[in-house]
Amino acid sequence: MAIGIVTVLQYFFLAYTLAIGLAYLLLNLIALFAVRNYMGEQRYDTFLQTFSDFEPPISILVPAYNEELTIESTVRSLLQLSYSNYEIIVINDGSTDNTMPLLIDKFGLLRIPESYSRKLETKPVRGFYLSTVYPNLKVIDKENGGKADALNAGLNAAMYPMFCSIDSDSILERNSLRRVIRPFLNDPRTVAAGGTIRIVNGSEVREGHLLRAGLPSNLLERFQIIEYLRAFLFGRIGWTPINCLMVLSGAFSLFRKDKVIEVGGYKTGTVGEDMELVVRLHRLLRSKGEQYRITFVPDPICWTEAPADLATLRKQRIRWQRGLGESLALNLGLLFHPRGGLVGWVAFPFMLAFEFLGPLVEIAGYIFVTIGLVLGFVSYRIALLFFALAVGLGVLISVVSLLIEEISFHIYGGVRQILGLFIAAVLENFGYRQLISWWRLQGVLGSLLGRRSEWGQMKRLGNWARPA
Amino acid sequence: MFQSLFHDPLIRAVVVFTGSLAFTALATLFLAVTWSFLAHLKEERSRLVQKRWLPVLAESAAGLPVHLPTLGPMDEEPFLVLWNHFQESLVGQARSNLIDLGVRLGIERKAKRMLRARSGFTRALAIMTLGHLKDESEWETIADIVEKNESIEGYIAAQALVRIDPKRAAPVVVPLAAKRTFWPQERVAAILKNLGPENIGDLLVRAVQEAPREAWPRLIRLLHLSNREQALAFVRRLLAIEQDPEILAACLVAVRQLGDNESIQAVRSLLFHPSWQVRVQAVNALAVMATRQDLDRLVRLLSDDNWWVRYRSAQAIVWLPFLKKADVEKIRSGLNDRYGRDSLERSIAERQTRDPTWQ
Repeated sequence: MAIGIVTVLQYFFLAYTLAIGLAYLLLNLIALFAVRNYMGEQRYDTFLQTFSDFEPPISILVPAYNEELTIESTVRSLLQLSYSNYEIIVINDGSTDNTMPLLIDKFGLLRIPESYSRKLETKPVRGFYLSTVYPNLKVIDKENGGKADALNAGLNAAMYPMFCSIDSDSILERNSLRRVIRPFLNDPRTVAAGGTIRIVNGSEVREGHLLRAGLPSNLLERFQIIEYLRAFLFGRIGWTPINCLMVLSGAFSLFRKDKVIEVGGYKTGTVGEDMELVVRLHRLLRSKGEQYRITFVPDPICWTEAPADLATLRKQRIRWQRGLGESLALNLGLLFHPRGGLVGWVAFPFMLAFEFLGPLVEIAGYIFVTIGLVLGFVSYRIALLFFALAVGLGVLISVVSLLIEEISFHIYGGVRQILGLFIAAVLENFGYRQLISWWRLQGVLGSLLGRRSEWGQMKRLGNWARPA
Repeated sequence: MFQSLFHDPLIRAVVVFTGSLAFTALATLFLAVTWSFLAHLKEERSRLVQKRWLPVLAESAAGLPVHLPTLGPMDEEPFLVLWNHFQESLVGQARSNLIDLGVRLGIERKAKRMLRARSGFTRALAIMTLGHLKDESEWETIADIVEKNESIEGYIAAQALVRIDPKRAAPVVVPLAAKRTFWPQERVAAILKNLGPENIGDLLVRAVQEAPREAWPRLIRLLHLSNREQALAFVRRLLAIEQDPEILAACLVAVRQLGDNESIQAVRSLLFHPSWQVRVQAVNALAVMATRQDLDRLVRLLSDDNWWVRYRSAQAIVWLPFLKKADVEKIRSGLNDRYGRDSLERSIAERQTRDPTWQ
């Protein structure tokens, strides 16, 4: 009986490791074709005349909580975006540092009477400010209620039909709005589009704009670059052609405001409000039988700072995993829903089985095989096969992602940089990936135990934000 | 012991698998480096072409005499990219000077050859070049591309026809632009703007009438780019008979864009329409044509159920040219409705921020 269970478990872990590896490899291959098509179309873009009167105006929402280090630089870079009509709404979510006085001082804010359409309930707003220097800059000062609450307050005050949520520590490319609006113009069914997030660590930034992309010297940051390519870029692009994209980063996404308000805005009390909103949009729009598209713009248009130390990285990954768990739990109705389509029948089960429960199975697999090998109930042959699959496929996927990056965006040019990333792509499979899985497992447990969520504050160095 | 290990088929499979993975990883690295190297070479060539030709193009656009370097076959495509960029960003004599330069270099011949290329981008570049050169000899080929190709290439071909001969292009392009709902509206608007109202005539109004009704709001919003008289007649007729709120709202946008003060009665009649989208657009239209007698209507709308109607009415009031700040303050102090007062207070503050000299 016990031998039977051990045998079943051995085959289960082997099959699971193989399945998850092949699934990601497949997503990367789909992404390769999707990116090639996209890049082909982009070559035409500079020649296509547009009439800017018809560009839909956009409200940019910037929730900020204790962001005194980066907020000025972020707002200044937003003020220089190349787009015909947009407003910037910074929402100070009860910061306890110098964020609000700094905004008032640097941008000449003037308090004006508060009057806007309150479609979504939020924590009380303390004040509403307009910049006397920049007519398209507004600031909402409100009581602390979390990022989702801040975004909802911004949504209430947003004047325009499209809104873009960005993190206050993000750096946008000047033409990022022009690029992210494109799916909405090309296909009126589009309700949301996400931009690609890249890691700014090691790059050269001046006055809120990226001058040159570079590699950080810290190996931990390099591992994250590979991880972003493998999981957050090509992993996501792979879902786009079949309209199954379930995660858009809160660091840079554009939404149709009416659709988001229709589904109730951002869900407060969650840690992954960005993902939860996207999954809810899928669930509710599918259940209504509406035609819609949620898509992804693969250009590198938004840059963000990655954690440079283990403690911050740990916190971030636990929070992300809990966010994923909450998003799936709150929208479980989408799973195998008769109207769920490919999202309900393929993407949701994938996210549940591989993304959410993946760390649990992976860590259990490592523990089972290691203990089994020591105690003798797992043969060295099976252990070898397991590690070869787990590490080998991981290396392959990371290296393929690096190749797709070079074929498409070619951000990190030069043999030295490619070699540096290649080494990181191999090394990350020996310890880093397992460590991330361990932290994600803590996130899974936190999610299952229903621990309370809070603002996902990260320790930032903000080196890029300092004036040159 | 190692020998016995290798006799085990599973171990052999693991070794082969790991070896294959290692080989694939190294091959992938080699591919990535090669690709990066090739991309670097391409960028370098493009940079060289720019370095050589940018001063020539700039001097030529300014009408200065230039010595023409040789245009090698490998440099043709990056040169045409550059030349077309200049064409897109220049107007008037500078543009004509660059066309002369293009003729001296024989780019017309090169473009006609490239029109038969396999690469879609090369073909599109050729179409753009012929469009800028106003070369009519390939009209039928380009018109055929517009008709048959619904993608970006079709759109670029439509743009080229408009550049070659707008009068001849209008009957081909306008109905297609109206029909192809998947062409982004701002690009369709760019084509219509290049055609000009004199060439569009009544083509757009006819295209709207022939289009399915769900496409009407989108197309009505483009009417201000067509012949003003034809557009006005059509919009006024619709305002009188139409019931659909979406179409009415689009008509009100058109009234504002066309600056049609004569539609003021129709606009006033829609200020209290049951649909808030219609009311908002009616207020927006009235804001640019309101007379003193509209002030009461706008003040009444400050108590509208919908926030947008209240806000737009407040904005309209504070920007009325015949009202001073004191007049607006007086209106505010006379308001009983809290929401209306909030909207007006915000709009007063906004105007003060934008226009500190407002008195």
